[in-house]
Amino acid sequence: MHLRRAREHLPLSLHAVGLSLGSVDGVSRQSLQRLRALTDEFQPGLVSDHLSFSVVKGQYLPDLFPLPYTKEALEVVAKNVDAAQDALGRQLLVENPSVYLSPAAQDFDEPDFLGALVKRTGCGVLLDINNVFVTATNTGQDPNVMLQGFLAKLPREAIGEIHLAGHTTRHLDFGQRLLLDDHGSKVGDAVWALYRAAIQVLGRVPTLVEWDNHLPNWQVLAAEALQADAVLNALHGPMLEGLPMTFHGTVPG
Amino acid sequence: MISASPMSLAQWQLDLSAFALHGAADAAARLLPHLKNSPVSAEAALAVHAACVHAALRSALAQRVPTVVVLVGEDFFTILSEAYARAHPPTAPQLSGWGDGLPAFIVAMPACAAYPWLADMADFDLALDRVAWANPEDSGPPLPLTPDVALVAAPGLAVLRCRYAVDRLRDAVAEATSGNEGALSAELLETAPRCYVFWCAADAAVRCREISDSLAEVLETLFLSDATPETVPEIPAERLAELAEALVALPAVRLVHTAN
Repeated sequence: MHLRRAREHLPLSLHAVGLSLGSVDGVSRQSLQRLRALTDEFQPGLVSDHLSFSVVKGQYLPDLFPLPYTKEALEVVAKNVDAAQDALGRQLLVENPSVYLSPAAQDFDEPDFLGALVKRTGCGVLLDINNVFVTATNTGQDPNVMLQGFLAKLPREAIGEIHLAGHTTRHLDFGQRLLLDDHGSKVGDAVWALYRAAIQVLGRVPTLVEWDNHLPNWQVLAAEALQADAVLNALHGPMLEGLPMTFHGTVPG
Repeated sequence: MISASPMSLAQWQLDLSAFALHGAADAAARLLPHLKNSPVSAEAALAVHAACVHAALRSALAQRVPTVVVLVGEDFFTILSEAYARAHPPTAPQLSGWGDGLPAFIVAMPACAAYPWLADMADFDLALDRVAWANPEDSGPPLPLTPDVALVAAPGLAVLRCRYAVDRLRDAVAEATSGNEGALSAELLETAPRCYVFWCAADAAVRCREISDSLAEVLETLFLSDATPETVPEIPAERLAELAEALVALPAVRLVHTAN
């Protein structure tokens, strides 16, 4: 009921977590049918899911497991994205994941893999700036270099949405640290800096601040969204008419 | 030693999920040669995935059986949740429906033998949770009693038979959580067979009431068997007459006039 009322006033972005676009078993027809029913009913402006897998032999695990960026994986994901876009009758945005594991042998880096996927399927990209920071840090890369890779290798028009979020640091044995994309805190300064750099190149892109753990009060949430609006307005001027470009999120992913 | 050739994607997915869910050592042994330690060790990163999976499953299960969590404590519940997840991993993306097999699993789990009331408590929590998800506008089909009167079940109608008075146990847990620790008395853990009916009220609130065994049987026969309104087994008229008053007084069912 709340979603219906919201839809009357605002464009929606539906963000899925269960399609398992990287699964070698394919995408569940039932999941696609249910998502199609939802998109038919609410006519969202954007629909997205993740570059990951979570379903193996009929078991659904609540995690976004990473894929090795190989030619085989590209074939699998492209087939699944094609199936999803056919079933939904619309373009799907595919989100870059937070990665904790580094496969030793890959045929592509992440921007190249997503670029090839866009070329093969016509899908769009949901660029999660927090995930860029988390993945780069966890895999020993420079977040700025990784972001520039996305901006250089993806067609500008392919990036249909941006996500921002907070992350935490997990301290492991032997002084090791791993960043976790937990959506449970304010967007970090380094992520805001990446966002500014991305918006400078991309222009206005609809932006979602994800926060679904340890939810703060409304004022804190609203301040995060306003900060994203401020970045957009500072770089590209305030919108003359229409709706704010920033969404608040309480969905995992 | 790092392997230069990638493993097949199917094997990658099988091994990663097997390690995350079961901690399978053979799966980790196959994965590790295909992972870099940069800058975090691959073992540690794998363990983080396993921890994330079990934390998410535990959280989903705990939301469905909150009284069980309080009664057994956080640490034991973590053990219970992990064991259940390994035995019965989710087979659908919506975790809100995962865990219906927990009561039977508790009965079969040796570590739970010291808590003979625990399966009933899990059943009770799960019944409340299922009703909470019921569509308040989704009543069952009307069962004709006479040519112009039919009986309609409230949305989410369910009957539960327990060996323990778990409704009282749940109330006592709530009181104890609010500071009255004396509310949890040993007598609550003694067998006291009960039947309960659950339903979703018109205001979408979850309702539960203790009912007689006879009334539970009638509700099960009328509404909860696989029978259709046309094939529902006949209940002896005298028995139905005995229970009519209780049945009509129960807000979980209502009489509707079907004549034009």
